[in-house]
Parts: sequence; C-alpha cells; structure tokens
Amino acid sequence: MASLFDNFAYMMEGTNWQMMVMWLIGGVLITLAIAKDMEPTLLLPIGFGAILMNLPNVDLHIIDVLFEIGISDTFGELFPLVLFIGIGAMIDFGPLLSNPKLMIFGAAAQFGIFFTFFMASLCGFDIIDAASISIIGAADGPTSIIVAQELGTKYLPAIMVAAYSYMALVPIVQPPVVKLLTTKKERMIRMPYEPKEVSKTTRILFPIVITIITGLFAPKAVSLIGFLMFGNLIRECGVLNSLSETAQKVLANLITLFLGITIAARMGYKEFLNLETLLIMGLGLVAFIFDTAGGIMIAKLFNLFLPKDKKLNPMIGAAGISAFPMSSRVIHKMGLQEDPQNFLLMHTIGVNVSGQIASVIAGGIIMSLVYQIG
Amino acid sequence: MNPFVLLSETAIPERQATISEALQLIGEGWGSIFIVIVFMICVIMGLNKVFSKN
Repeated sequence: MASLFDNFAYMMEGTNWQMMVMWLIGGVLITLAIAKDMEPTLLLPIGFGAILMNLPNVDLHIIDVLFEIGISDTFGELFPLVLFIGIGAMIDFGPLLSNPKLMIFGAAAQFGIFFTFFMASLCGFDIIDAASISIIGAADGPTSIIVAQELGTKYLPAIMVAAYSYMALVPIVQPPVVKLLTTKKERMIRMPYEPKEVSKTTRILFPIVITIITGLFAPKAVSLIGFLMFGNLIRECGVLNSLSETAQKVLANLITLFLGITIAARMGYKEFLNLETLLIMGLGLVAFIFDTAGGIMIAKLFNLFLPKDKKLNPMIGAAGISAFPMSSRVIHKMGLQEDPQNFLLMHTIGVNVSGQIASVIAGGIIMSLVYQIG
Repeated sequence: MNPFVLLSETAIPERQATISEALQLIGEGWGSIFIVIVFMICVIMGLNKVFSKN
C-alpha cells in the first residue's frame, strides 16, 4: 500500500499545469467524438493519445515506434498512403465520370490552401511551416499528414488536429460562408440530373489515366494519387471484389485505428501547447472558409456566361473541398432547405470526389512550388 | 518558374516568404491545378466518347 502512495506522489510530482491542459484538450476531443459524432474514428484516438502522452514519468516508447513506422518518412509515410488505398476503394467516381466538367469546382475549391500560405506567411511562419499549415485547406487528413511530414514542419500535430477537427466541423463552417456569398434566388436554382451511362472500360481506365497525368504534371503528388487510384482500380476492375472489400473495411479500419493514436505521439505539451498552435487552428479555419469561397465564386463566374436555363446552383462549388461525403451532404441539405424539391446530391457528390483528386494534386503542387521559392 | 518541375535536390529556404512570393504562389498554385484538372476533364470526356455504348 505504501508503495502505491509512493508511486502516486512520484507521479504527481512530475505533473504540471500544461499536462492538465492537455488532458482537458484530450477530453474535449473525446467528447466531440462521442457526444457530437464528429470524426469519431480519429478524434477519439487523438484525444485519448493526448492524455496518454501527457502522463508524467511514463515511458511510451511504443507510440514513438508506431510514429516511426507509420508516419515518419523512414517507411515512406506508410499509414496515410495505405489508408488512401482504402479510401480509393470506397469512392464511386461514377457521378464525376458522368459529368466530368464538375471537376473544375474541385480545382476551384483548393483556393484556401494557397490563400492560407499567404496568410501564414503574413503571420510570420517560415516557408516550410506556412506551406505545411496551408495544406489543412486540402480538407484531407492523409494529404495533410504527408505534405507536412515531407516538408518537415515541427507543427505536424497541430496541423493534424486542425485538419481533422475542421473536417468534422464542415456542417458548421460551410453554411454561413455559402449564405454570405449567395443570394436566396441563387440557392434555389435547380439543376436537373441527367446521368450519362459510363462504360466499364472508362471506369477501369480512369484511375490509370489520372495516375499517369498526375505523374506527368505534379510528380510530388503521385504517391498519394497512385495509392488512391490503385484502391479505385481494385474496386472497378470487377475481378478483385474480395480485395476491394478488404481495402474498404478491414484495411481502412486497421490503419485508422493506429493513425489517430500515432498522431498523438507528437502531442506532448512541450510541442503542442504554444501560441503557434492557436494560430494554426485559426489559419485552418481561414483555409476552409476560402476553399468554400473559391468554389462558390468560380460557379458564380460561370453563371455569368451560361444561358438562363443552364445556370449552376453556385452552392455546388462549395462541395469541391475534399471532406467526403460530409461536404456534399451539407450542400445538398442547404439546397433542400431553400426548396424541398431541389435535389443537388448527385452534383455535389461529383464535385466532392473531384475535390479528393484536386486536393491531392494541390498537395503535390505546393510541395513543388515551395522548393522553387528563392 | 515552372511549377511542374521536381526539385527534390533543392533546399527550401529557411525564411519567411515575401508578400510578392506568397502572392505569386497563389497565382501559380491555383492556376496549375486548373491546368491539370482541365487536362483531366478533356481526357475523361475523350474516354467517355470513345467507350460510350451508343
């Protein structure tokens, strides 16, 4: 009994207020995950890890080992890349292939990434950190991890937490921006869905062609897009159904299980509790707001040139962020709120999956561009 | 400056970007994505045309 109290006294001696703040942050993340169902697969393990990593005098070498294996470049950022196989296997690119012009909004909604680089630079972050922070605007966890890790920023944990938190907060962040930038009349524009049949050959060639184009134009994004498209090829080829199911469920779940707790390996209070973390959270919000704005404004620009009966509902541009399928659902619901007969879902899904591709390419492009500064 | 060139051998300068560099990155970065995506759109439309069942 005496040794138990000795242990307690020893542990309490090593505890400080910063650790307690991290326990609180961990608690908030766990609460958001459970009570609000916000990205629970990641926020819960990250929250628990934040508590775990901030216990005094505890040796958690195993989590550092997981970080080395799964996230550091020692093994080529294994976890996020393998997770992309699962994500690729989950995505049906059919709505996009049926109306490929929608892809333009995927590109438009990456504006927040580049604008955030500008803002982060104004806030005093150096080029590496500004580029890493800006990728929160990709609205895609694996892309954010890989870009931040490849660039070697010291703010990886804050970037991860910001990226996943804002992905979870899409239903709160996007609607006010959409309402601010569109009129009620624009939000009520109906877009009839006239799907064109997509052949199986096109579905199979799509992942191969996208990988080749990305490899030629944005080589730094090829590992990400390659794994995403590999997953999709497994799905679409029709002869690997068992592998496709494994990738979608077992593989994705297994990696997700380790990813959250591994991210927390860099959530020690010394690395996490500082003014920069708060700034990064703020810049993450800027990224999501300007992503949304970029998509909407390009849709509005197109409307200037489109005939009256072909006008686009500019809200669909906002679905061009990568947060899939959250963003497409949010915009679809907003359309229904304005007009219960306005079904935008298939359009928003097409735009949303384009955002998946465009955000990865944006990650590759920003990695190339920062090397060329100076 | 060519945004598509792989420059892995070059080191990223350890300094803040100037306002003009950051603005240039906005233009080149966003512009580059549009170029790649428009190219992809054209290829997909081509695939749809070649392999359509009609």
